[in-house]
Amino acid sequence: MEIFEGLLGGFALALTAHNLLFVFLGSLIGTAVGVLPGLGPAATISLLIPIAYTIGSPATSIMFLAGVFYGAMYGGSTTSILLRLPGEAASVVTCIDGYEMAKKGRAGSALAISAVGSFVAGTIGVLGLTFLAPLLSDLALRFGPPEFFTLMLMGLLLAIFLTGENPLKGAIMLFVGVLLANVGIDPITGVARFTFGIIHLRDGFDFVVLAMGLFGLSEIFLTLEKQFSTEFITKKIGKMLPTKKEWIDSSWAIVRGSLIGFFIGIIPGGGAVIASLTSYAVEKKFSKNPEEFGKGAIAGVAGPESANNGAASSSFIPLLTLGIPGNAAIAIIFAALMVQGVTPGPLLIVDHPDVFWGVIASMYIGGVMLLILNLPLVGLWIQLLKVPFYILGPAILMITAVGCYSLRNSVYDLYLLLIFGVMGYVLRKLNFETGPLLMAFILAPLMENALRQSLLISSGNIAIFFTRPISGILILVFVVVILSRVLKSFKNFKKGSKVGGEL
Amino acid sequence: MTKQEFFAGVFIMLVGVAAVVYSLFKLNMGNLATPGPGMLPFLSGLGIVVLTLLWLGANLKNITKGEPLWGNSEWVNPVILVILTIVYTALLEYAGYIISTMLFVFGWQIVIEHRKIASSLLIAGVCTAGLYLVFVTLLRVPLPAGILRF
Repeated sequence: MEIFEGLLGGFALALTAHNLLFVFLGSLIGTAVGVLPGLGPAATISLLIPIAYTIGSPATSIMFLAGVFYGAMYGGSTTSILLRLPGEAASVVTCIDGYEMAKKGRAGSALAISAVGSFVAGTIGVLGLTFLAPLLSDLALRFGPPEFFTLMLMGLLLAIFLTGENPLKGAIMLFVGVLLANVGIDPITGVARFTFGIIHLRDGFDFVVLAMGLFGLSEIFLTLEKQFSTEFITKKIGKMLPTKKEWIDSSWAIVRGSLIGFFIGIIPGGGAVIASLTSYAVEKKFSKNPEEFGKGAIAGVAGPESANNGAASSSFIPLLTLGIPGNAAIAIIFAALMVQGVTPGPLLIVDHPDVFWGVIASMYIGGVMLLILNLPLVGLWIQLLKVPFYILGPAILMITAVGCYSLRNSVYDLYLLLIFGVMGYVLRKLNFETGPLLMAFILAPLMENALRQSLLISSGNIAIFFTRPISGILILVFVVVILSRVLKSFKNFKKGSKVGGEL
Repeated sequence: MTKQEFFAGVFIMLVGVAAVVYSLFKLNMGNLATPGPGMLPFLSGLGIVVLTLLWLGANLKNITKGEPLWGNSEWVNPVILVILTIVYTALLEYAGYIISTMLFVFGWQIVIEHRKIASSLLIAGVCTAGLYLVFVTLLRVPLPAGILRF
């Protein structure tokens, strides 16, 4: 009953004209970001944070930023299908069969099924969020500092071991993130760390500047290296209404994709990319005609597109209930909440029910908006690709610069932005993932606090992390996952060492 | 592992070593019961050192020359952008938002895109006006006025 009351309150808030406008704007910007190759949701959310501060209450800001996040998942399919150009990473797999369908004049069907699948999966994800999140919040209320420390550490390490191509490099980035977070005054003792007498460094680095540099500016550097032109490979969209056979072929794929996405999205590091890849593999296995995959099988579009949207919705569950961001984009939303004085976690539902239920309700509304934005307006989104980079590039950079400057009205932050941008650019050129760095940077102060409190409680006995049931189980789960991954890596390494494999 | 990755690994490891040394000698480590401000920096520095050593050690026999990080003058545009951004930042508070933004966009069009002066001026003007409208007029973000005083 409490859930329905909460949800009703959330709808009352989300349906106000002001909030509706920002849910719409978030979905609109998200779709545009999904359509445009290069700028991903994490980069965009970081660029929009300074704007999000100015638009109203924390609930409105997060509704807006969440709209950008799940909107990008919708938009990503459009260019994958029509141009074989994935707008964002989770839509890579859609290129395979989506583009083949487009070549056969069935682009309209692929787009329609993809939009419907995304809507169904998004709705299933939000339904899961609605009913599962309060239960998880209740459970998490029993957590003390040791459980939170273990949970955050395990979440971060799992994110690295499950997503990264090279877990060791990801783990190195994680520690670099923690180190960067240590710069500034220690909040407990007041001692300055790594400031070297520079007054500006006493406040530490702002996560917005770091995120904008690592994701936004570095992306512009990379794009400038290879300025690409978008050729209109597919000009004809065809009929938007799928045939009866196409509906039948894709309906179970949508259901399976939604469920796969939902469960993978809950796991830290699971995310939309893994969800869409898993769904594609599952659909191929379930199909009566697996040989059609790669040649325009509609299930190869329906499953992955549903999965990435399901994962996008369910990745809000660990954020809102445990305060654990599962990927870089969610980590930035996490930090945006913190800056507004709202701590994501089990107490969110009690302390800030407007944020908790408002965001959930806005996701139902956003789903409907996105369906409308993506189906009838598909032609408009394709036109967006015609905006040349010589206009888009400087505009994005100037938006980043203004956002960055407005944080503290200081050009010092602009220099930092440039430093982090170059750092992100070089790291990405060297195939280091910057996501774990940012996630660790955001979580490090909370982790340090939980670690210190735990050690104070136990009088310095680190057994506290292993002997308490919840943290003990978390560590056990983590060890099992890591061991299986390490064993697999060593097997691959042994196999690959003869041909230059890397650990 | 490529040669470039190897050198990057060594550099990151040295950063870790520096963090460990700084934490040990400049910060109070405290003890396990009452951790001091140096504890986490020490642990994170140590983590960096151990993990980079593991990574470098495991791939020491597989170091390849690899592709160069920057192919055919790919580095030129990013370097120009760095310079433009430094100039923009240096000018922002003195010249003000409008002049520095116009100069930045104009510079981008001329130096990176090699466009003609007239079209570059037009793009710079439209871009600056659009951004001014959004940030200053609509969102009321306080930006430096500089010599123009608005």
